[in-house]
Amino acid sequence: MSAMLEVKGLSVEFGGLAAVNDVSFAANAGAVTSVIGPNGAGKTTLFNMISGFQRPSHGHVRFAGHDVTGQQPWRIARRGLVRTFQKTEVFPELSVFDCVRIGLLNSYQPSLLEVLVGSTKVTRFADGASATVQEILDLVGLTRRAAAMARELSYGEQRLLEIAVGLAARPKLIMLDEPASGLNAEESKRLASLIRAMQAGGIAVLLVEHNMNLVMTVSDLVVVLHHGEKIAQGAPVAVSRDRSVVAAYLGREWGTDAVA
Amino acid sequence: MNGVMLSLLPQFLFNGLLIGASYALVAVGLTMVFGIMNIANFAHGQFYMLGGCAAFFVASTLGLGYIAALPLSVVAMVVLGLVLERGIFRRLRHEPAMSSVLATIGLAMVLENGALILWGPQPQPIPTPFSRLPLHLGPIFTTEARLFGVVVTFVALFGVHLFLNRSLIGTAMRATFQQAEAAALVGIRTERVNAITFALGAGLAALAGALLGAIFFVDPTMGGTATLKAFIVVIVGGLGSVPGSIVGGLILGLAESLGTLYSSAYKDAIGFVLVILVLLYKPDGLFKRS
Amino acid sequence: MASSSGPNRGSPARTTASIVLAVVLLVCPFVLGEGYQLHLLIVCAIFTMLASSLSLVVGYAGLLSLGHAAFFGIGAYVSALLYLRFGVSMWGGIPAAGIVSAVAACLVGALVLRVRGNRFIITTVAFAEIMRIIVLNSVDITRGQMGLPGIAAPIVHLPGLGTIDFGHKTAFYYVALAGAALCVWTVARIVRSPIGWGLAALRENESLGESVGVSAFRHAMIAFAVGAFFAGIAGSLYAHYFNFVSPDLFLFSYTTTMLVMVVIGGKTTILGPVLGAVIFTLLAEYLRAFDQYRLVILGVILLVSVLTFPKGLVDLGAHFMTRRTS
Repeated sequence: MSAMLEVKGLSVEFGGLAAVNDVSFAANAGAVTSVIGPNGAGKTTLFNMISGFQRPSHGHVRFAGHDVTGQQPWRIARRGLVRTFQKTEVFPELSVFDCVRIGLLNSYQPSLLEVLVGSTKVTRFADGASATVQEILDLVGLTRRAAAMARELSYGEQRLLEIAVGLAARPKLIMLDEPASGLNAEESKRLASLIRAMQAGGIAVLLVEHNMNLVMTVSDLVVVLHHGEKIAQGAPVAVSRDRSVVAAYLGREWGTDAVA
Repeated sequence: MNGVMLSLLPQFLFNGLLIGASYALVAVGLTMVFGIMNIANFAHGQFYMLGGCAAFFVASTLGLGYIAALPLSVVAMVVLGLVLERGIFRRLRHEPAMSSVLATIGLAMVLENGALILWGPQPQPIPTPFSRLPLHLGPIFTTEARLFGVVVTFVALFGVHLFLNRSLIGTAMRATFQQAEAAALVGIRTERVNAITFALGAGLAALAGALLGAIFFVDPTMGGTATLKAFIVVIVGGLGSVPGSIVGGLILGLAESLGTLYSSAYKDAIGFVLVILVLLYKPDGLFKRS
Repeated sequence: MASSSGPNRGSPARTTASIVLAVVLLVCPFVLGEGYQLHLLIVCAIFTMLASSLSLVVGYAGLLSLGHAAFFGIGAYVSALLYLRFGVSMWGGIPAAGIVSAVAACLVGALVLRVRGNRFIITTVAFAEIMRIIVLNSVDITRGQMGLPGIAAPIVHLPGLGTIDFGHKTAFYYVALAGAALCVWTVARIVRSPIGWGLAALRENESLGESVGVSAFRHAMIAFAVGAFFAGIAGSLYAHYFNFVSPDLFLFSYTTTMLVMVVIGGKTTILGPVLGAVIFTLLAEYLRAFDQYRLVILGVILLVSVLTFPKGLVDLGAHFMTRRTS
């Protein structure tokens, strides 16, 4: 297993405060890597820097062998790095089908000339889109809702839709930002099997999550952030026992007597 | 610049201050509506125009004189502002951004062409009790009307500053600006704040229209340009920033006035070029939201 | 609306309607004769081009560009000056107008399409105003406010068939019709293609689109440049039909008129701008008696329709139809 994504010394500050400070880790191809940490630890900022939505002040990001530091998001996406957002994002006035179809643009976008002359390449691509979109809808379980408008979907369905759009983009690595937030136990279980299905399909997954059950179940590697810095990393069980990790979540050193 | 131009410099600076302060007066209302109601009001310049036309109406048609016309026209526009806020802008707050732009463009068309029907296209100056003889203040030649205009606009701007920072309502406005939901939770009646903000903006624009209308002239088509210039000032100064609008307005006024030294034909283009430059180098404007 | 690549695209009713419409449009001049009604149709065609090209930017890309009149004016002046100074006929003027406008759009777009929201809107307005001021003041070239008269339409000699004078409404009508048809066809083509999917992404959720490889800037630029291209051609047609251009073509009121047509008709539809253009051209003519009130009425219509049916007439009509059939 080689490193699909390498983050080295990534830092950014806002108004003098370091939101992320010198974070380094690697996510391997075909693995599920989770980034955890208490609220405000800088996890989403980290995601934003990796995916091009935030320019880091220091550090590098290497994806699939290329340096993608500070590149525009769409460029990084075309390399195969796709992300979802903490606040669920969809294309509100488009049907579920049309939403997912947009993900296909990550693989091919015709030039204006090709479209105007009606090149067969474009027609074949457009015609083949339906089948691909159906496959993905089946995978995430939104087949019945294909014709519904994205804004009509329930919260959980919109989360699935967002993931579907990301999958349609044929990622090598997909970054999921708190995919389980707001999901009940049943939905979380389905999410876990979806993540495993992605992994089985050869897609590496980078996860930011608060739901520890999910994290422990699916992860190969866990990275812990606190106050913007990496304080631990390793296999899930090892990390769950790490003192500094527990202290970060509980607010004091485990085992000491902190009597008021 | 040759010697003649240099000697005229204080003159142009003074005029620039007058125009700039007026721009600021109009822009302040627009930026407040942006900050507190989050609406882009493309009809804002019409308050400026209607303020001038109303002042003309009172002073000339009704014959009540300029000194009565000033407060009356401001009050009229405040009332109109309240009515429009209640009828139209309240509904726009929950619509997507493009809707409020389109709707206010429609409103502007109604107001401008309505004014054209009422007053005709001929530009008219507002009659004033001031003498038209030039005043000599050091290196500056000016008129009583201009001096009056400069004094009143600066007093008004200062008054706005005091109001926003010292009065209870002003504090409520600033709170709503920073965090509308939190302000509502704390008991501030956001609906009332919105209405006051909107009406205040309309009144300030009207004042500028009445003042400049006496110095230059009023005509029903001047609202569009006023809107455009106000937007430029707001963008340059920073959306939602009152100090930004004041500084931005003065900068635009001075730049245009000094630009007239070189070419009076292209002076209007200066503002547009300025906004493009600001967009390139400082997209958030000169000041952040404050 | 469900999947836009739905099965009702090639329904027999639609095809019949299209054919009937095409025949009616082609036969019109012979029925109406060389008169006022044909003049109206020509003006409708020109405004259809303007509204349809604007809908690509405002409706499909979701970018409220308020400077469209600038490209209309640029096209008109390019065509006028090519004719008056270099003797280039309309046949050369039309493509030149389109190309120059498109290039101008690329240059302006490079600057302007990186910002969004009100900054974008104001910059587009500023651009149109700057163009107007420049054209107004370059008196040596443009004669300023006096404008450029005498832009004649071409006369074509067909060996053995006689002469066609495009100064006659009948002949010019077909040129205008062709222009409008080409514009609407191109917009439809783009919008239904994968580029159109990208435009929808830009319009609906720019960040989400970017996260799956859709460059907002590229798609915005395509819409902007193609929109400008057809606005420029519309300008050229205007110049050769009315035989006169003036800086007034850059006025904001032209942009607002086009905007009203797009918004009322339905900004994310193909038919909407066409409908809007026809309705408002005819409305403008019939309200000519109430000329002063015309713009007030237009403003009221815009205001009311944005507040009550923001998706436009076409959507309203479709809504009404689906209600009746369900």
